[in-house]
Amino acid sequence: MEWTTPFNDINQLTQGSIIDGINWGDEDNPVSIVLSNACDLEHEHASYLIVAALYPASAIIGNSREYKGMTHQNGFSASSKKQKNAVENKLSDYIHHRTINRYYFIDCTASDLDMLMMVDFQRILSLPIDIKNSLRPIAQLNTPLKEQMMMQFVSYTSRIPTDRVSQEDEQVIKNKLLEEIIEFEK
Amino acid sequence: MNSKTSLYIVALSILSTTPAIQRDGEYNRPQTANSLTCINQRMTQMNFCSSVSFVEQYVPVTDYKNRYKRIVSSAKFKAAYRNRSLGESILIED
Repeated sequence: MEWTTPFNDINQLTQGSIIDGINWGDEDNPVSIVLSNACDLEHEHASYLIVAALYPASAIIGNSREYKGMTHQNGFSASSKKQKNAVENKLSDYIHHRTINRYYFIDCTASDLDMLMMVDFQRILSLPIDIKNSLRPIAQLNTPLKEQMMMQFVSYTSRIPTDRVSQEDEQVIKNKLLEEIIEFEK
Repeated sequence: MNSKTSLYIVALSILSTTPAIQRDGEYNRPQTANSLTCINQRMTQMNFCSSVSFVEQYVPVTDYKNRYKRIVSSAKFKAAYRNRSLGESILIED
């Protein structure tokens, strides 16, 4: 499976293009990936270019509350086998895009980036389309991964908060479900 | 040639031979090597005219790993990502 293909012509900029040269206002700027609609870019309907930042997957996961909560306080090497398995399952979720959340995993080792990356759907920037000419092309996220990334971006940003049942009610429902499952297994 | 003039000439010489500062992914300055002419003919006794140009120059990047090492070790990155949740997950496949 190939995650990305080489991308050298900035005039071919489209959704899923991985580019450098966006000024995020940081001392060292991250690389970016284009979220703008491919048709808008193709037919020059885009007034602005929408991009998201890419960060090393290891830094995102390794710094996360979830990772620290499932590993030994001295890190992965000191963790038990059960903890290590839990971490590996978490990594599999990202590699296979099993869940939709804030990040989308991309293996960029075949490109100049040569790293395993995460798109951060919370770090987004919109810039005048003229900036296109000053960007440096790096790679193109392949189809259907780029469509999948967009589906996850849309799903992530369109989540609707709903009321949750109380913990007590949740436990009542769980107990009833388990009773029924046990009955079903007989 | 007085000492002040000598100092200017030394500074000019250093600027004219210093390569552009290269730092991954940033706009760098100065690019002086090919923009040296003279600042003050009377002062330097040079027979040509010019100025030192401080031009923004984009340096192509190849060393992303070092750049990201700086990014992930920065206080800004840690403030944004350390001990933060990976986010609510919606399971789409098992």
